[in-house]
Amino acid sequence: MKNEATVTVTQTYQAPVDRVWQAITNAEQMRRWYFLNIIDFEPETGFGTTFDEKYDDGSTRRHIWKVVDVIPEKMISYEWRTGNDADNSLVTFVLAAEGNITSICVIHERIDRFTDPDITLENLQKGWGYFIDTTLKNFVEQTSEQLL
Amino acid sequence: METTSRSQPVIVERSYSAPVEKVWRALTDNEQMKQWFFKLPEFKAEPGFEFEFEAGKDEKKFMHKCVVKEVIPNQRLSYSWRYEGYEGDSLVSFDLSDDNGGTHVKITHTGLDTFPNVEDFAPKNFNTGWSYFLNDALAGFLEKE
Repeated sequence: MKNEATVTVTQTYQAPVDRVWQAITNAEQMRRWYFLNIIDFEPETGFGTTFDEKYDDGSTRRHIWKVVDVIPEKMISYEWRTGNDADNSLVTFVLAAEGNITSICVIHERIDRFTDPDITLENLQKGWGYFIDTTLKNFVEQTSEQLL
Repeated sequence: METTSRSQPVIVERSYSAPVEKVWRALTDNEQMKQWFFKLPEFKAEPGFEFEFEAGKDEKKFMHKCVVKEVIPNQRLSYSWRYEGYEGDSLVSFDLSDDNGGTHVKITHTGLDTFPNVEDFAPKNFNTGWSYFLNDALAGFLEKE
């Protein structure tokens, strides 16, 4: 069961690592591809934040994050639970740079700690796939400044 | 914006909660500029200061050549903006004003009609590019600071 309680998504971006790092750790940028209601975020061990996200069915879910490990431009890891959970899952972003290409690996562990019946392995795989394969990829690969 | 006439200026505006002095530094201190704007070898907010940088898509780069024209600290910075090997010269102005303790920034880019009338220099490109810098890059930088 242990293995089944982890979601892993990997992807490669045509973007330098500092850009990807900003996108995953700067609240203003996170709001544009991740969760719209993220209020603040700091890539610092011990930093905690809480935000409420509305869902299509009209329900609201409270997300509670606490940063547990940071190596700038290499990895960040934070605990994640919802307002209904007693225990934390753990999400880790790992970046590796090669010139202007950045590979990203997101590992979401201990997802069995989520008590909400809607937060299933399948839904988390879909959700992370959407963020990492689509929204974050589009965000960091946008080349608007190249138009100037 | 697709119908934008080439003789019309491209204008992009945005307000920030940061005070004017902080936004001015982000626009004129090269160490800060490098974190959100083009990476320039050197920049000085002094009339007559010339700088150049290469930018564009990987398959088609343009050497940008600029000369600082007007500097009014905490209010206005403008520089000319042209492309090496192409006719035309334009002017980019950054106007800062106090907005209830925050800062309103207005970018005005004029003279785009002096460039060759080709897709590479279409006004919508400038609109998208400057919007990116104000709404994503500078907004993110100021929040981080």
